[in-house]
Amino acid sequence: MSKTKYYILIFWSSIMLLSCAQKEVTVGEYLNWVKNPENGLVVSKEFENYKISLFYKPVEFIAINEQRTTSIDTTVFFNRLKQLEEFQYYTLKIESLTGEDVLKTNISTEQEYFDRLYYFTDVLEYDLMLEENKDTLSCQLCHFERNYGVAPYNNIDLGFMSSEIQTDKTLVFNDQVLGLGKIKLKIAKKDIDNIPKIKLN
Amino acid sequence: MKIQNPIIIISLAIILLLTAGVTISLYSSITQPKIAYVQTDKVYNEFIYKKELEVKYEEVLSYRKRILDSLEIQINAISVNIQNSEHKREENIQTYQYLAMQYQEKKKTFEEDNQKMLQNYTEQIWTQLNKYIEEYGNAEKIDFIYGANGSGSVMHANKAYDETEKLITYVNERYQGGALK
Repeated sequence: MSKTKYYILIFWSSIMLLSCAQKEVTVGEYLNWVKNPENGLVVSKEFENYKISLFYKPVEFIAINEQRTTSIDTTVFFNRLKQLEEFQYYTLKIESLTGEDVLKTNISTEQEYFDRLYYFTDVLEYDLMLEENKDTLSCQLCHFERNYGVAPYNNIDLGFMSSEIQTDKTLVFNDQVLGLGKIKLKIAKKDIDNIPKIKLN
Repeated sequence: MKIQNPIIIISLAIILLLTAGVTISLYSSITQPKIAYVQTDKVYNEFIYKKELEVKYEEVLSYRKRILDSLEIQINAISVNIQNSEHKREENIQTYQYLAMQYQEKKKTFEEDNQKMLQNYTEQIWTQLNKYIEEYGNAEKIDFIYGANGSGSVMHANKAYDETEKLITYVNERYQGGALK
């Protein structure tokens, strides 16, 4: 092999290795990266009066957020990771595009408001499933964050049993009160694989 | 002024004509709206969510039918008893009346519920379908998508403008959670 060919081979191999390597970013950059919809961990669909978004929250993201600082205590961080790793976490956000309280959007009677409240606090978890690895997981943690109408959206924190990531993850929300029916939101495996590493102190 | 070289003049004229032609065609391609049509019933019938709800609806219908059928069998059996035997006749007549009433009530409730369920399902399907069609139009930069459904809204269309198959693939991908294009 000539010298030139040898250098070209080295050059391309380096390029390939660099492109495959996971990026390493600071804590602040990591938080921004995860929350940026362009990176695929936040997906959404809009229908008439509602926008439904799903946010896949890596355990590292939760552990950092809990410390409420970008200068994280690594011991606390790794201990927290161990506690969190049993589940995979998501936030389902339901937003009213009319700017009203989600529970009051497009309703005609007061009873509908209470029906929705009951549904989101007590029934919703049975209408949520996660499809992955040719398996369907039931929702293990479901918490509807009430905000008493101060914002035109509601967040629902979700937890499913953790598993090895082999395929895309699809959340199935079988809505019974907003008139939307079954909604599927997919987090692609490639986007989860792309999550950068955190540069720790 | 005397014409020096007719070949140059002819060439210039051809170039001018060509330029004008290209400009006109470019202008018209920019300003003319992009139009497509889809076979509405085919898109609707091939939509996965529609197929899923159809199965669910049939299941509910068949379950309800089974309930009514078993009530009907009971009513018929008691009716035969009443006609053929004097034993516990009064009691059987009362049971018969009770069951007949229950049958009528259930039948009415089921019919109303079936109607309501069908309406809800149809609304849910169209809510999602309309949104995905809108997204498809935006992604493909199509200004107008006509629905050819055999009702006369589109009497004839060139097959080259038929986006049905591509749209079916798109709406099903989006329904399954595929990324917005």
